[in-house]
Amino acid sequence: MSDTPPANATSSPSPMSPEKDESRGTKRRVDEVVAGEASQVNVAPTELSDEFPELLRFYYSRLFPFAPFFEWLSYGDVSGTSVAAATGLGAAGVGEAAAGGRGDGMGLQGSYVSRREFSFTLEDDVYIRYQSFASAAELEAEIRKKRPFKIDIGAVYNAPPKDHKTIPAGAFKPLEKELVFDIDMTDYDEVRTCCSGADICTKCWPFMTIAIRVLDTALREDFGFEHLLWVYSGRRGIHCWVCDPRARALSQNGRSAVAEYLNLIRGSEDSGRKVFVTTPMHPSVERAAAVVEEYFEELVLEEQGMFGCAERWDKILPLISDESARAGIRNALIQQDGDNALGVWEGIKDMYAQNSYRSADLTEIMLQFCYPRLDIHVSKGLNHLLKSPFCVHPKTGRVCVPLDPARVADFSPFDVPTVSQLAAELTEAAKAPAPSADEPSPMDVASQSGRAYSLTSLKPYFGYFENVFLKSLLASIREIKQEAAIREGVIDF
Amino acid sequence: MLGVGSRKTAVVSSKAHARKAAGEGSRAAVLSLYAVPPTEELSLQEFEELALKRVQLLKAIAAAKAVGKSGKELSLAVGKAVDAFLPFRATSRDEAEREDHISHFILRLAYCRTEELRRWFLTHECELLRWRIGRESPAAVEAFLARENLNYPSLTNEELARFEAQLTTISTIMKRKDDRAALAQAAESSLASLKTTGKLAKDAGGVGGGIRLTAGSYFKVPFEQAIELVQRRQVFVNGGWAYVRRKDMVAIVVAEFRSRLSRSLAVASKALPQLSEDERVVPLLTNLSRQYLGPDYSKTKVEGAISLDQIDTLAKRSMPLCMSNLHSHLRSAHHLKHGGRRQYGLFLKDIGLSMEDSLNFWRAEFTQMMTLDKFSKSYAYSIRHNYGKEGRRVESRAFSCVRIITANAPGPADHHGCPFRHFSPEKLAHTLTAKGVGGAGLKEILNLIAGHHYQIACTRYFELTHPDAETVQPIEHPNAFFTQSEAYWRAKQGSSGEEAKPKLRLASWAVC
Repeated sequence: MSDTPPANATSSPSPMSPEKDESRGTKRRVDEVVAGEASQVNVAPTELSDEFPELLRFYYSRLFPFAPFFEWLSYGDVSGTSVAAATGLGAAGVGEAAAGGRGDGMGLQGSYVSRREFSFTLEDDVYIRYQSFASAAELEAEIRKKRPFKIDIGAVYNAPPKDHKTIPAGAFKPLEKELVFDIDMTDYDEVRTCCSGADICTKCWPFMTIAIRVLDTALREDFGFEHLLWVYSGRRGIHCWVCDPRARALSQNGRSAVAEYLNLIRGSEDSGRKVFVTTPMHPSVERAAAVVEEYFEELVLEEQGMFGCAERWDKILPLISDESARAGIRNALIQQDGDNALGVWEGIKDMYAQNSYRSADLTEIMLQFCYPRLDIHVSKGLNHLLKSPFCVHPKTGRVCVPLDPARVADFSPFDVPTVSQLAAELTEAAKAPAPSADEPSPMDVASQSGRAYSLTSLKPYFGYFENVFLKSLLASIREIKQEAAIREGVIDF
Repeated sequence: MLGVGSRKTAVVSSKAHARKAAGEGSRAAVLSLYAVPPTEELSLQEFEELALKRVQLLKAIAAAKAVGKSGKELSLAVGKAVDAFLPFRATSRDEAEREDHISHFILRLAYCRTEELRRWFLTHECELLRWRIGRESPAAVEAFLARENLNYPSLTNEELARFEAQLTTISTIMKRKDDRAALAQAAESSLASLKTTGKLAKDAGGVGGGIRLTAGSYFKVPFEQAIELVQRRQVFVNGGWAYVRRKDMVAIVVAEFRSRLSRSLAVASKALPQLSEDERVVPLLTNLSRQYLGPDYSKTKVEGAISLDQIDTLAKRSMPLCMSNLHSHLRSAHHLKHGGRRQYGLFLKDIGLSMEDSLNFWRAEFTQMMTLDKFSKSYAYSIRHNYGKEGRRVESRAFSCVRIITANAPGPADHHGCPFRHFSPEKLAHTLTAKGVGGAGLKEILNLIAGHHYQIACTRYFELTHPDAETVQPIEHPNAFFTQSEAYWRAKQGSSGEEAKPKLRLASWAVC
C-alpha cells in the first residue's frame, strides 16, 4: 500500500473503550483462525487472491453508494446541531456517559455528520481511527484514495474527530450514535451442528431469520422505533442500526437497558440453563416465544438434528427440571426408531400436558436454542465502532448489504454478490448498446445518476436502502423539523 | 469557624442550583434529591465528623450488598446503618436534616474526582435514597415528588383497557416475585417465617386472589426514565413508553436522582481544582476518598515478586477459583476473550508479575493461535495499557469481587466472572470436586450459592482448601484471596521472617 496513514492516525485500539479491542481482537482472531482450520465452503476462493485490492478499487470507484450513504449519516442536518438535540428528544436519555458532554459550555463544532467518527482498516491491518469528513465529496475522495478493506462507523462527537488532538483532554466526548445490534453465527456454535466458527450454510441461516424477526418486532412495538437498518455483514452475521433520534440520543445506561431487555440468553458454556422465563411470561418474551415456536421443530430437531445422538441431546436433557421426566425422555431418545425426532418431541409435549411438570421448561428449551444471541457489548457502548454497511468483506468478497426486514424470509446470504461477480456483471452491462444513436447507453444513464449498481445484482439491496429506508427516514426528519417550526411560530406570536 | 460553605457553593452550584440558593424549603424535607447546596459555615471539626459518619454509613451499605444482601435483608441492614451513623449527634429533626444535607455535599466533593469514586458514591447514595423512599407513606412520597417537581402522568382509562392483559401479566409476575422473596426471607428465620406467611395469607385474601387494575395505579414515563425496570424486564413497554406500577415508582425516582447526581459530580470534578487554595480542606477531602474505598491491592504488590515459571504452581495452589479457571482455559485454548484478559491480566499484574513477564506470558499462549505480528498489533497494547504505559498512562487496578460478581456477566465463550456466581451448580460441583472439595463442604458451598452468598462461598472454599488456617478474612478481592493463601503456605512451609524474598520461597514450592 503506497498510502501512509496521516500523522494523527493510530494503529492501536483506544484504551478508553475496551470493547473496541474486542472487535478488533477476538473477532478477527476467530475470523482468521477458524477460517484457516475449517473448510471455507462459503468463501469464493478468488476473493482471497491478490486481485482483491484491485477489485476494491473498482468497487469504490463504480458502485459504492456515496451520496445516499452520506445523506443517511447527515440525518437532514447541516446546521451544527443534531435533530435529536434540537427537538429536545435526547434530554431524557442523558446519563453518566454523556454527563458533562453536553451543557458544559462547549459549543458543537460543525455539522452532525462532520462530527462522526469513521475508521479505516487498510491492507496489512493498518488501522486508522478518528477520521471525519465535512462533505460527501471529501468522504468519497478519501475512501477512493485509501481503498480501506474495512470501514467502521463510530459515534458523533462534540467536535470533528479528526481534530481530536487539538481539543483539551477530556473535552472530546461522544454524544450520539445509532443504537446497534450485532448477531454473529459464531455464537450459535453450541446449538448448531452443521457448521462452526465463521462458516454458515442454508441449514443454520434460519437462526438469523429468527433473530431479525424477533428483534425487529420488539424494537418497533415495544420501543416505538421506526427506522431500523438491517444489514448482512458480508460473512456470518447481521447488524441492526436503529436510526431514530431517540435511539441515537440514548445514554450508555439506556443502551444497556434496551440490550439487556432484549437479551434472554445468559451465561457462558459453563452455565447449563441459560434462559429463565417467568410464569406468566413477560409480554415481549411471550411474543418472541411464539415466533421461535414456528421454527423450532424444523430448524432444531430436523435440520440441526439435536435429537440425533447422545452428545447432542445431552445439551437438551439438563433443561428438563423433573428428574423422572428426564429419565423417561432419555429412554425414549435411546429407543427412538430411526429418525423420529418429531415423534419424540410430540411425546414430550404430551407428557408435559398430562403431568404437573414445570411448564416453562419447554419454552426455555426452544428459546435457548433459537432466541437471538446478541453480542450485547456492541450495543452497550456509545463509542463502540461497528462495520459500516456497503463495505466488502475481505474474506468472502461479499458486499455488506442492507436487507428488508419485511421480506427477511426471502433473504439468502448466498445470493449476495461478491465484488468479482459485480465486476463481471458491470462489464456485461457495458456491452448493452444505446437504444439509438443520439441516446446514451443504459450504462451511461446509470453512471451519471451515480446508480451503476442498478445494472448489477446489488439493485434490490441498494434500491431498498435508497427508496425505502432512506426515504422514510428523511420524511420523518422533515416532519420533526416542521413540527418544531410550527411550535416556534406559535411561541413567537 | 471556617468558611467552607461558601466555597462549596461556588464549586457545586451550576446555573440551575444557584438560582434558589436560599433552599431552606427543600432542606426541611425528610426526603431530598439534594438540589440545593448548603450555604452555612461550619467548623473544620464538624466538617470532618459529618463526612466520616456518612462515609461509614455508605460503607456499611456497600458491605451489606457485598455479601449478597438484597430485598428485605438489605433494607434491614441499611436501616441499621442509618441508625448507627446518621443522625449522628442531632437533637432535633431539623438538625438531623441539616447533618444529612451537609454530609452529602461534603462527600460529593470528596468522591467526584475519579470515575471509580463517583460510581461508588452514586451507587450507595442511590441505595440510601431507595431505602428512605421505601419507608415513607404514599402521601409523603407524593409530597416529595411534588416538591422536587417530578410529575408523571397517570394512565388514561383507554390505555388501561387497551393494555389490561399485559399489565395484569406484569403485576402477576411482580407479585409472585415479591412473594417468593418474602418466602425465602421467611425460610431463613423460623420466627420471621410465622409472621411473614401469616401476612402473605392476609394479603392474598385482601385482593381476593386476583389483581385489580385502576388507571391511577400506573404511571407512564418515557422508557429512558425507567431504565432499571426495563433492563430487568419488570415493566410493560410499548411504543417507547414504560407503564410503571405506582409501587415501582421508587426505581424511577432513584434513576432520576442518579442521573442528576451524576451530572452534578461531573460538574464538581471540573470545578474542583479551584478549591485547591484552601489548604485545610483539600487534604481532608483527599483522605476521605482514599481511606474508605477498602484496601487498595495495587499498592501492596511488589513488581517482579512473581516470575513466570511459578504461575502454574500458583494457579493450582493459591489462586481463587475465578483466576485458576481463567488460567486453565488460557493454557488449554491459548486464548481468552476480552473480559477474561482484563480480569486475569490485572490480577496477575497486581500479584506482582512484571510487564515484561506479562507480555511474555500472553504472547507464548496467543502465538500458538495467531502470528506474532497479530499479537503485537492487537493485544500487546492493552497489556502495556494495564501497566499504565500507554494511553492515559494510568495503571489499572485488579477487579474486586463485587465488580466481578455484578458487572459484565460472562456471555458465550467467555470464561471470566465468578464461578460461584456464574457457573451452573453442576459445573461448580464438578470444578470443586476436581479441587478436592467434596462431601459436606461441597454441600455447604452449594447451599450458600443457592442463597446468593457468593463471597461467603468463596471464603468457605478458601477454608476448605487451606485446612487449619488461622483466622480467615472474608474474601472481598481475588488478590486478597491470593495474598492470604500465599501467607498460609509460607507459614505452613515453616520458613519464618524474610518477608522480602517471596520469589525464592515461591520457586522452592515448584521443586517440592
